[in-house]
Amino acid sequence: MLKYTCRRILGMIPTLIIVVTCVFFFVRLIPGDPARLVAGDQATEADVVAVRVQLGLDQPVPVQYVKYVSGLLHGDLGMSLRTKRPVTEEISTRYGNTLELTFISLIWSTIVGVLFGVWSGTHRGKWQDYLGMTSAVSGISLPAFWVGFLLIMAFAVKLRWFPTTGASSLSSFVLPSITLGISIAAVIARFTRSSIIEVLKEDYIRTARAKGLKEKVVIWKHAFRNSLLSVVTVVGLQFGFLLGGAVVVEAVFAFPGLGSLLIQSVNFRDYPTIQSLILIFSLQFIIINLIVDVLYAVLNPEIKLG
Amino acid sequence: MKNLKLLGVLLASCLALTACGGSDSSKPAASQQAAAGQSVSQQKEITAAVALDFTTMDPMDTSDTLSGGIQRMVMDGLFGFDDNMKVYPMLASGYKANDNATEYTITLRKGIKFTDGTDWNADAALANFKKWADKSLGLKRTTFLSGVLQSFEKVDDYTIKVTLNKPFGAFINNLAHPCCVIMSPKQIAAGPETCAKAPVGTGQYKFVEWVPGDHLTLELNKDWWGFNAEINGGKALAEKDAGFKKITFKPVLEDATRVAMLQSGDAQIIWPVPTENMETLKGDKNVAVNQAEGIVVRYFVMNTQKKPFNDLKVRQALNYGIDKDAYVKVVRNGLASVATSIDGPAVQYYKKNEPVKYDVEKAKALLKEAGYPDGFTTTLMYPNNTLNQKQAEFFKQQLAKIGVNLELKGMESAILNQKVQGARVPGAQAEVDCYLSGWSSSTGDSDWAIRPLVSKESEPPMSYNISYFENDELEGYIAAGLGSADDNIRKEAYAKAQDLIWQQVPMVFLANDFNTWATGSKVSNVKILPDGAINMKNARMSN
Repeated sequence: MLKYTCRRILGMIPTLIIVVTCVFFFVRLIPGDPARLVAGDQATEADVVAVRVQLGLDQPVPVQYVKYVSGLLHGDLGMSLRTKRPVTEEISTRYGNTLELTFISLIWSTIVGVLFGVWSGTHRGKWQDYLGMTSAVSGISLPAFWVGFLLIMAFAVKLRWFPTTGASSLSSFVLPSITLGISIAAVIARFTRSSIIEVLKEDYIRTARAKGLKEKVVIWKHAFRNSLLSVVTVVGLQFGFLLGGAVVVEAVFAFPGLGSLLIQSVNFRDYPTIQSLILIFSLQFIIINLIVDVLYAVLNPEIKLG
Repeated sequence: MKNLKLLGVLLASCLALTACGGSDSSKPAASQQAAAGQSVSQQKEITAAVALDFTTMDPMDTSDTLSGGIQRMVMDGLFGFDDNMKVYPMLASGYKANDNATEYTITLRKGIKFTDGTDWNADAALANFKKWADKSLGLKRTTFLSGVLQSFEKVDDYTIKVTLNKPFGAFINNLAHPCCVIMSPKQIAAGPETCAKAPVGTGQYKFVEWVPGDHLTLELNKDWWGFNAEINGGKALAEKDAGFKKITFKPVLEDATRVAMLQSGDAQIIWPVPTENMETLKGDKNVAVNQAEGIVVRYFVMNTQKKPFNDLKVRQALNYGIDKDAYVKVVRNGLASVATSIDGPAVQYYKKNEPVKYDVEKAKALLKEAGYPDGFTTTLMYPNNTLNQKQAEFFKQQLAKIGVNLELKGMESAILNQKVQGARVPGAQAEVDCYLSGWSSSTGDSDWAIRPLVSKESEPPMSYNISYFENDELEGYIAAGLGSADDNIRKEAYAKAQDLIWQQVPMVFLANDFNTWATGSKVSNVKILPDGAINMKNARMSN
């Protein structure tokens, strides 16, 4: 397994080089002049030219590319065109916030989603199944901004149990993680349910029951363990998406995370920030995929890596 | 079945919780004014929720009103704007100009220190002028002064003389602009990065910290010279008990969330208030809502170099064919006033003109005279955010009544910016036909309300003359207004300019936006200046 992991890590490097290069050149193909956007409407052309020079945008594109890549090798993600601060500084606090929000949302939504999914799957066709799946469909269909505002109006404005916005204290993570987690829990519930239903048809489940094992043991020790593979896949995918920032939730709760940073950077054509964020998102997905693949082997000894 | 019912009850109660609550819109709550000398604001730490994140704390590198407003709380300028956008001396005590508006001698106010202990005097002033003249820094407002400054020198410890390389009658107004607030020479010496991150001034507040995207904090400067009537020559700029102990500004981009923060008590001041939420907040007993006319003017711009808008009759037709009262009611929810000039009403040397009466028949007749009896088709370009989409739909519907088919071309603002403001071709070949725009003269002077919008030198990409309007008579008036520091000469020049522009209709003048803001009902005297910046100088709080 170790050899496999090392090989995969080495394989990341060419992928990342391709990602960096493609993003660098594609983002410059989008119409829009960062110097003009940063300088603002009240700036004259001379101001815009001065800003362009200051931001290094008057240099030929290959020169900018070399500068950016050599910076990357030293861990320098460049300077934000919008704020003139190092991109690393822009990303660092927001990254922590997004990471914390992701973990909290994922933990509660995985637990709830799995429980709902197993509950529905083991009572297939009965009222528990219908209730579970109706809740899941609602969870997926309810728009995040609507749920978010509803929670704000009820729990922040009327009841004053939680703060309206921000990421300052643990209590300010509650409402955003509920909003974010609802659709994830729903997706996990549906996947868990179908997976459990498939597994419950297997022969070894019949054997386990025939052996006289308690139903709880049959479901959790045998059926659930074997249905974990698809659950792990879905959780891995959701993890990757969440780490890219949850734009709507961040907007509703004024939550300083990576999603709103990406949107702002795109609006201002802040090339270094866009490039660095996409690089980070790609890296995250690659690592998560690796972890998921290794987990497959851990969960199912029959799967051989490499 | 039982559980389904329970779920239904739970959901219903959640919805009910949000719906119920004081909707008594019989009378909007006014601020509870604290009695003289009894404001508790100086013991309070409050939060203000704003619409955007701050960009920088370096005044000359600032292109947004929000950051400028905060900078004005920490730093004062030689001159400033009062509540009606009239210029008054702050760190300066007065000035004299020569007839050509090329030499300005400015006397400085005595007895003031920066919050880092440095004295305010001619040396400190010149350190700031040196920074403003430095083109190599590449700041966003580089040309604001550096284009006209020729030399500046110390006459004595409290007098400086500034020489300009061409007549510039609006110089004092420029000095009152937020990008010319005075920074401590120590910070200037430490470099532009320090200026951008840690401003030090002579202001009512001291800068504490700024975590971008999260919050910015200021604390009260009890030693502020503005509290001292003696230094001010008789009348203090603020009451002795005004101002807050600490203010934390939080950027909250989503309008509804900002409103929720005020209602929940998480914020005590918010601005702007979206026009759709004004009515809701008026019904909340714990909130005081305010609105006031600003200097942002909205225009429907027409490319005067392209057919059919090169014909004055066509432009007049559109002027008659757009119902400005309906615009105010529908697009602005009543929170605007019909425009009466290219200038906002609070701008220096503003002259009022009569808006034409909405008249569909007259519009059609004018079009017929111009050779378009069946109307014509044209395009409207605009940024595709919600507000502009609403405006665009309004104009499409209005112009359809006079036979003009307006094709709507909404696009992302950066792309639009490049196509319209970044265009490098003469007006006749430019892509833009019609355009939606707004402008405010941030110097509070007619020069900046007029020159960037309708002067030949301001055609894209140079500045904002998107109507590509070219008129030699107007150029004469603009030059006359800039070429003298004499009040009467400038007033007359700009009166003639505004009349000409009003008659030539390079753009349909729509409305003057209102500024909107709201506070907790215990807070009073918080204002928004006509240019949109916050003014908390005299803010007070009752118990």
